[in-house]
Amino acid sequence: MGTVPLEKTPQLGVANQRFWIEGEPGALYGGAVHYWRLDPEKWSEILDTVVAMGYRMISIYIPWEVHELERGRFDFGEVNPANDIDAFLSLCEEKGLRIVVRPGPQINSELTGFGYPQRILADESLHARNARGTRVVLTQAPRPIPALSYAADKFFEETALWYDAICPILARHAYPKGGLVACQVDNEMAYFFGLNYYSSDYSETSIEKYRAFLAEKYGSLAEISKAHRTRYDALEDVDPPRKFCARQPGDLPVYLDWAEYRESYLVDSIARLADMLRERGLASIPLFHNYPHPLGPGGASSNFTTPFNLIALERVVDFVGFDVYSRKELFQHVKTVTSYVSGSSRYPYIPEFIAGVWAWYLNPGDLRDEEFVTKAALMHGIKGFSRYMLVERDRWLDSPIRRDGTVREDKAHVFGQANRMLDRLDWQHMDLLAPVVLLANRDYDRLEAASVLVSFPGDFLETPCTFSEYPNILTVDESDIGFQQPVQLAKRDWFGAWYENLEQSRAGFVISDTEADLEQLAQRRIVVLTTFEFLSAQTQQTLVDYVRQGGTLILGPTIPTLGADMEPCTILSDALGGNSAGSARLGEGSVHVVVSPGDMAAVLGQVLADLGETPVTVDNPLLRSTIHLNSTNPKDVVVFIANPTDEPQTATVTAESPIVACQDAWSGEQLSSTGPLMCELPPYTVHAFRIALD
Amino acid sequence: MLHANAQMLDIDVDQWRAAQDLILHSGKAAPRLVIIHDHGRVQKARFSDGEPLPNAPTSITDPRRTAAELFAEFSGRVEFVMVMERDAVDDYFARVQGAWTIDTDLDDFVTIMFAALDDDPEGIVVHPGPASGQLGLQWRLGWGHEEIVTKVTSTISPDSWLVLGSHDVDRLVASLLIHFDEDLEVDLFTTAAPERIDLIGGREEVLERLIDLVRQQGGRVGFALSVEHQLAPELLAATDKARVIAAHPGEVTVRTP
Repeated sequence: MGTVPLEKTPQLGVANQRFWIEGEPGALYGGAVHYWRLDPEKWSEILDTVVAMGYRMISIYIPWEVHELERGRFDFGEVNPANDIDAFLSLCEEKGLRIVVRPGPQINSELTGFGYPQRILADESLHARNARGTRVVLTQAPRPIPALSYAADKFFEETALWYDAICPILARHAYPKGGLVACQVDNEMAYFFGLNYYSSDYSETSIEKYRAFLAEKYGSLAEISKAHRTRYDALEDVDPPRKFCARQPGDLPVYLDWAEYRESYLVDSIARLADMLRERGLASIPLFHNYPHPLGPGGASSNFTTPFNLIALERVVDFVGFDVYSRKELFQHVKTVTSYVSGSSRYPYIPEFIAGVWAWYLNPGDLRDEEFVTKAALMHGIKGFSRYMLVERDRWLDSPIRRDGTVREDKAHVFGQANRMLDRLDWQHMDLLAPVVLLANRDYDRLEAASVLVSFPGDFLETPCTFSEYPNILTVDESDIGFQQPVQLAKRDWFGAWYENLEQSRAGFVISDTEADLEQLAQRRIVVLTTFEFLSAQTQQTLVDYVRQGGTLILGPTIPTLGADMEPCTILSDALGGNSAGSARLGEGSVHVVVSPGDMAAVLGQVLADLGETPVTVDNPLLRSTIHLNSTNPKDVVVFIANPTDEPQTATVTAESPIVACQDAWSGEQLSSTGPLMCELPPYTVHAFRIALD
Repeated sequence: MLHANAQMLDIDVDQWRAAQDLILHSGKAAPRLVIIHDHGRVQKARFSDGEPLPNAPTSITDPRRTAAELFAEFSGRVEFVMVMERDAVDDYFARVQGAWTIDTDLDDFVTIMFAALDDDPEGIVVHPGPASGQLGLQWRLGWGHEEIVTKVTSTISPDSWLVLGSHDVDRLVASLLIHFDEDLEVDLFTTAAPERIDLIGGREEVLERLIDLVRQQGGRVGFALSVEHQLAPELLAATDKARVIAAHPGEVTVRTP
């Protein structure tokens, strides 16, 4: 999100929500092809089909477990021609394709070992541990695997053997020598889907790291003891929480610390792997990571924060995305995830973007889901993506291209049409009009995660306890823990109410979280945030600074008077002169306190009126729309209109100035209307128009 | 029984979706009443749609009786009532994960995991029970794991295919083609697909095409069965499948080529 002056845009890199290649914003529209699963004789024909569909990039998972013959010895085509990654990379370059590689060490890819050689999975010293001290097992097909501990130095030493072998090959193809323009570090790092707060990692080495994390955070054992409201005689006495038992605010810091540590564990692990890749010849290309789609079809509607921390992770790699697989009925789900990525990442990219379906998804979707979800994601500002999977293979169904190279024509048409639509929209020069950012409150999300009443591991086939891995109303503690209301529950209600009211207001908004710094917040005119009795001092100070320099802050229902350490912290309250309701000026900006959800619409209406008219308006309140402006020509406008309902809808699009030209970007048809634009939207459809205003 | 590298190739998504509908049942998707307590102190009492249980108990002394009483009261609204003690749940998952070994096949692991659900009848209580028959992803096969292994061993010959179809009037709507290796481990799944065979026609006719499809690819069919779609759930659920087949002579075709 940080704005980089145009003259400083990189030859290769990310800035201004663009992926720059040779100093120009590049269209990173690509898809995954698993070379090792395909007959090498078919590679060329398959890549030709990919190019014909309008893709410009191939995304390549590279499996350690497939290439390793024995510890430290690898096959890159000498034994199995399908393992000749060097030849495949060269072939991609010959076809004019950019390349993104994903060498793991974890790649999942529906491989039995998730990409790890069996000897790694079998090594007890590398196993993560749960709160009860036993190993952590992910139930997945065709064989359960243990979660590995990324806290173990030995894990990185073993990974180094793999990186030592693969990186020299990759470095030969890295831009500007070849077509390799980005590298993904590991894959969907999420404790092997052990998202439950108490599921891992309680291994000895992880607990040592937790203690070091606390020592760095607090500076001394005495300060840790003070924060945790206990007395530790030695650092070795500090133990992470293993069951939620908090009854009062003072009990919470120890839980919030473990949640914060779980985020830093993932960030630090990625950072260490990224450094290893840079040291081995990949320092010249952007590195990135993909968080998993929050639970896939039918899953959580948000849950994009803890243990994930996109913004913190972008401090150690160049960009981070969330994978997106969904069904057409879950428009709000797609909107939430993609609005978060476009509102938080410096390059809104979907590293795995729905194309076909994993064999074990229950009730798998079809092409209508793929088309709707594609457009629903793009309309919220996604700038690049990798289709997963472009080519079908073992354990993946219904991709546009079959493993024998033949084409599913209906799918190839729709996926190709999506690429052509983006070209018609001049997508790389468009910016989402979103003056508002709705922040998730990471402090409260951490509390929600900690307050789960039961602990269980990830399970791809459905956990026997029937609960979601993400905390929700069925799993979190309902006690108020000494606050006016159970923050861990109320925060979800409030976030949902803000979201709904912003949708009804027709304001362009994105989503981020309280990890955002002042520079990121300053990109938006209005910040909306749920606040209860506590909020970290750093967030309070960032918000005050944001308002003082001209921002508009809407918050509520409570002005916090405690920090996340549950000690008095009145930065916000002091800035507001002790006012706990109403509106107030502060520096160049203003603060508006909403004490009841029923007041949200009125306050938003008042504040949004100051933003002025949007260039385009869509009339039907059941529809959802977004507006994108050409960064070099504000009269060049793109409007997306989505019908997320199961009923046909009509829309009338009016503009603030006369429409001089309008194109249906999906069909390419030039529309003759110069007045208000009328359109019909069947159930679960999205239309995109490029409009030239007078 | 499931090979460590069992492959799933050339699967038609419509056939697979229909097969899932017949075979799999999601406990997570089932309407249910959830009670979570900490050694008797109730901390959660909600329906799976999030609605709170009216007049929820604050403590529990006899979880099985509580589950039975709540089910009697709300049987029209829920498929089952689950009463879970927090430490019992954590212990259960710790125990199951601790039992894993690198050589454990998925079906064996899942069998262990579900059997263990019934190990603590006071800690993890489901009514109607047992817990292993309601929670998680349920396989509507009528037979338990051990019985399936026995049937496979007695019916399927090594290196052969099991062909299963479900037929709706004039069309094959669901199919599974399963290959067993020399050790009778399942090493390959696939389905019929419209680009490979014509799915339209009578039940027996389409079943023959399926058998031919396997043969054309060098495979040997050990057992093939196609059932009228409306009868499929009853046949799958039955423990005595021969009786169901005998009772519906015109609705099931069996081939043992």
